[in-house]
Amino acid sequence: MQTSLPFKKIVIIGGGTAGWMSACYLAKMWQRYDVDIKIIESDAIGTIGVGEGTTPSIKGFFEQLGITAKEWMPACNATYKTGIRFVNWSSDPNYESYFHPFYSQLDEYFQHEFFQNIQLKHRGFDVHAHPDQYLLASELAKQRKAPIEPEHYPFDMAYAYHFDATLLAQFLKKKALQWNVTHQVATISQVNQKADGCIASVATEAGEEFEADFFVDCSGFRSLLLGKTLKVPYNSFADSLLNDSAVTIVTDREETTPSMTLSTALSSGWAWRIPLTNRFGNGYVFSSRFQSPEEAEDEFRQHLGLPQGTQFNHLKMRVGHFEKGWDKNVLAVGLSQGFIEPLEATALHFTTQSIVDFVSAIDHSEEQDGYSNQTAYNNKLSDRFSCVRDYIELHYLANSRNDTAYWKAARSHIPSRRLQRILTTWHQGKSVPRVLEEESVSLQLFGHESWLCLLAGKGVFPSSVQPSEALPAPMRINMQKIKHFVETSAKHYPPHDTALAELKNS
Amino acid sequence: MLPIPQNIIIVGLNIHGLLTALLLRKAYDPAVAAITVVGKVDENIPSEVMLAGKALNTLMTHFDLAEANWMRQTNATFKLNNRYVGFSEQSFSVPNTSEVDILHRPLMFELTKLKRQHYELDLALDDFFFSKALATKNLSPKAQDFPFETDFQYQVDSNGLLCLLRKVASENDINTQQCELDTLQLDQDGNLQHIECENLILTGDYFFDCTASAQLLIRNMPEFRQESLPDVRVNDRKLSFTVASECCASEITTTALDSGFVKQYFLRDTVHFQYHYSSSFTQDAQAVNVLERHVSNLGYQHVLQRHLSESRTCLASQSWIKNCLAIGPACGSTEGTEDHELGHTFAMLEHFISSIQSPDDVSDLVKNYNHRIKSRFIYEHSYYNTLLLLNSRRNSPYWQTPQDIHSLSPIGRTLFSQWLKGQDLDVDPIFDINGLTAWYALFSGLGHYPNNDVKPHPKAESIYDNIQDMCRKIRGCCLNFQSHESQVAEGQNHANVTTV
Repeated sequence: MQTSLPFKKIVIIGGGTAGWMSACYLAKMWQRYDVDIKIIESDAIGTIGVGEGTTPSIKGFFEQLGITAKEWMPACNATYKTGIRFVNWSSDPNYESYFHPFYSQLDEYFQHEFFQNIQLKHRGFDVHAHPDQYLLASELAKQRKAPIEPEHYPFDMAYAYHFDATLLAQFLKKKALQWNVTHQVATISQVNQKADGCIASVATEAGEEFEADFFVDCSGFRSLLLGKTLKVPYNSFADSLLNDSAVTIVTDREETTPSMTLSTALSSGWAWRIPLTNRFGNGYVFSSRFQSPEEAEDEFRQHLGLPQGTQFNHLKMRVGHFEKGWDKNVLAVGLSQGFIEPLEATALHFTTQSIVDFVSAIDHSEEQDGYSNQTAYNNKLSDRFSCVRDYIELHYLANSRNDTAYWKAARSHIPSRRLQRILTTWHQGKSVPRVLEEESVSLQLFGHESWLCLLAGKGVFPSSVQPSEALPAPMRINMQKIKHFVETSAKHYPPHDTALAELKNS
Repeated sequence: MLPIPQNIIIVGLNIHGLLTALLLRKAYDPAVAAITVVGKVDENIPSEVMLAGKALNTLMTHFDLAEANWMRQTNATFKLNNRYVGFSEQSFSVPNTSEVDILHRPLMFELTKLKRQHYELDLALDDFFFSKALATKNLSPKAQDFPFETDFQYQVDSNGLLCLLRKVASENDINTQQCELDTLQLDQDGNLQHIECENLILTGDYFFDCTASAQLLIRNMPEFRQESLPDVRVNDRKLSFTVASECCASEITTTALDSGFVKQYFLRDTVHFQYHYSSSFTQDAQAVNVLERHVSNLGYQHVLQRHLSESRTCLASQSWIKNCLAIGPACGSTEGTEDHELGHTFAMLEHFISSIQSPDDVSDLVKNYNHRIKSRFIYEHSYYNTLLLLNSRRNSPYWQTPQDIHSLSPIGRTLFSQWLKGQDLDVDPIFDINGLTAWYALFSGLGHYPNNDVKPHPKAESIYDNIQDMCRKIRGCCLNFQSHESQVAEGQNHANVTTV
């Protein structure tokens, strides 16, 4: 553990969600040190704020900052997220949709039965192996309930949030300023390097120059320091993930607020719907190789039932990551480090984990300059990117749609060695969790439950040739009992809108 | 395949005989099977408390008696836990199992293992048991919209139960005859052909011996053999006291006394004490004094009823011979701190009925039945035998008799060896009695952890946080449950309404 910090002055470039998250976390975690943290934000560069989905790790991030849900959620129009429902990703009518949940302690209860039926389904028995029937979060989402554990039903629930990222950046900005982060509105015009390549200072269009020992690059897809200046090589995922564009729009909210993200497959990509307290954030992620922006806009408009002439926003995405997230005296956080398309809402997971891991690496550095853990940090980050990439890629590989060239192309490329092994294991009806453990994937964001949910939820099974009655009695799962358990458990949780109103009123 | 019974003769007009009759009636329509129960009713037997499982409620409900109704008629209360006092330095619980426990069982396994590996941990397994938490708060096992099943038993007044069963039997085409067995007749194959009771000759295709230790039928069957169970300390006496009480607990207590142990049961308005002791170590008069003092120390003054009886252990080597089955204590009787007498009877009839429906070979069915039933008694005895051999009480000659752990039954020896080696206990899942949890509770409760070379655990703080979190969850779950007393009172009201 370090007794002093190797940096006296840290400059953060960029004031989006990643920039303010970094500022808050560094200021809070290193408040015991004498360190000057400055954030330089350009008023010429906008932020992308169409409603952000997250993963459960963000809950721990807020807890570490000491910020309660009561405090930040109402300020950011935030809602609770139990998971994601995937619709129309399979052509099999029995698997028209499935739910990828955040797991609760209660899901352990029938996990064995779920796994057993997956095995039996692979052996051709007509048993229930659709994940929705086993999982509490799926039921909560169906009933539009909040995943908040009541005192009388106190089982651990994993959940995440949806929120307006622009409002979150504003909220965190106030916090950061309270925690002595200084703020400079300026546009960077020049980056100055030392002889060893490290960043010495940044100069602004207004002629000011800011020196620092360490820089955090939160400049978005521009990757001003890590990519443009340090020229760290970029590892593109474009070969395996086809989507490179998005069209977005906000729409009115419904009478009650869903507690899940909806992901609906369209002809050349998929559309998200993220519920906020005041509206829905919608987007269509597509591949420009298969659809023009105008065609995408038209299809998306029809999907949402909006009139002709509706105005949409268009975005371009670069899918992949820089080979190092931390090079010399620069840490890239957020889009400047890398991006995998938003299918599983992993962007802020990378953001928070990057900054959390960085602080841990510095705090536990064996060398005074703080750099002893840099290689390990970068290796871990690369592992995280490749594991998440594999999981996202599996969504496309496992699709069974034949209606457009896009969906056929989406499953026609050769996956990574690891993903091939996982798929082979699945098709052989063998233990996927064991392979995930051997490949160290189980330690990453998506545990084995997620992988099984995806494959079972998309109906990647051989045809059933034997009725379940052919099984010996002890092997027949009592689905009524599971249904009763899940539905009765769900009764204990509050309606989503009630939980949100309580937050607001408190 | 075994033929479906058409003419069933049951000897023993007692609780086991009538339960046998009703369980068979539930399985076989009167148009298919005639059922006759013969025997003498001894009206002077003092009441005692028996433990019955949920199967009793299933049976009663089948005959249109709602739980609240039959519980009122038998003065029944619920039982969720058995608290053991005086067997080691700390009291400990052997709870009824709950599905809530499944969620934190891995933690219990891990921590007991660490403690056996010489780590210094302040660990009380009572904290891990949901039924124990309910019992401590004197809650009932009843909750609304709580999907985890919690096993429980009923504390039932034996005379009330007997009256109720007789009434139900009379209303459901069961012919009862108050007469004593005079003689019986076997055919050339060794099957029971008929029995003679006073002036009656009763022929049947299946005969059930429910005559308890008298074993009036089974001991006359060919190849009958009585087995003895390995005794540790023979408690050959049972002294019962009944006292009035205004409150009833949803747990029973088993307390080690000078020459045996006393079990404390709660009915609706009475508390029953059963002192099981050895006449080799104490006189009956002394036992009375000891029990009086125990009852008085607990704050009870006026004893309503006292009764002294003898008890013995036995086990029929085969309880199903030809067309005769010994049911209940006629099959076997083991002494123990956990009461499975009624549970055995229900299990026997369940096995018998499923055997009748089975397409398997007849001799295999009977062999399998006998093996399973015998295993139940041996298993139950093993648990008790382990408690007596491994406890740390040494304050009287009774408890000072040499303790040789080599005297443990094979089951107890295997499990204790696994415990000492720090392994997970491997308990056969077929047993519905004293399952895995009970063995962990026993070894841990009796304090079988290393005392020497204990070392602090580097993650002790995190371990205690986990335990605290588990306790918080268990406390939270308890909020769903109704109080024991109100549940019993609700039953009273409900039953009255039904009667009206």
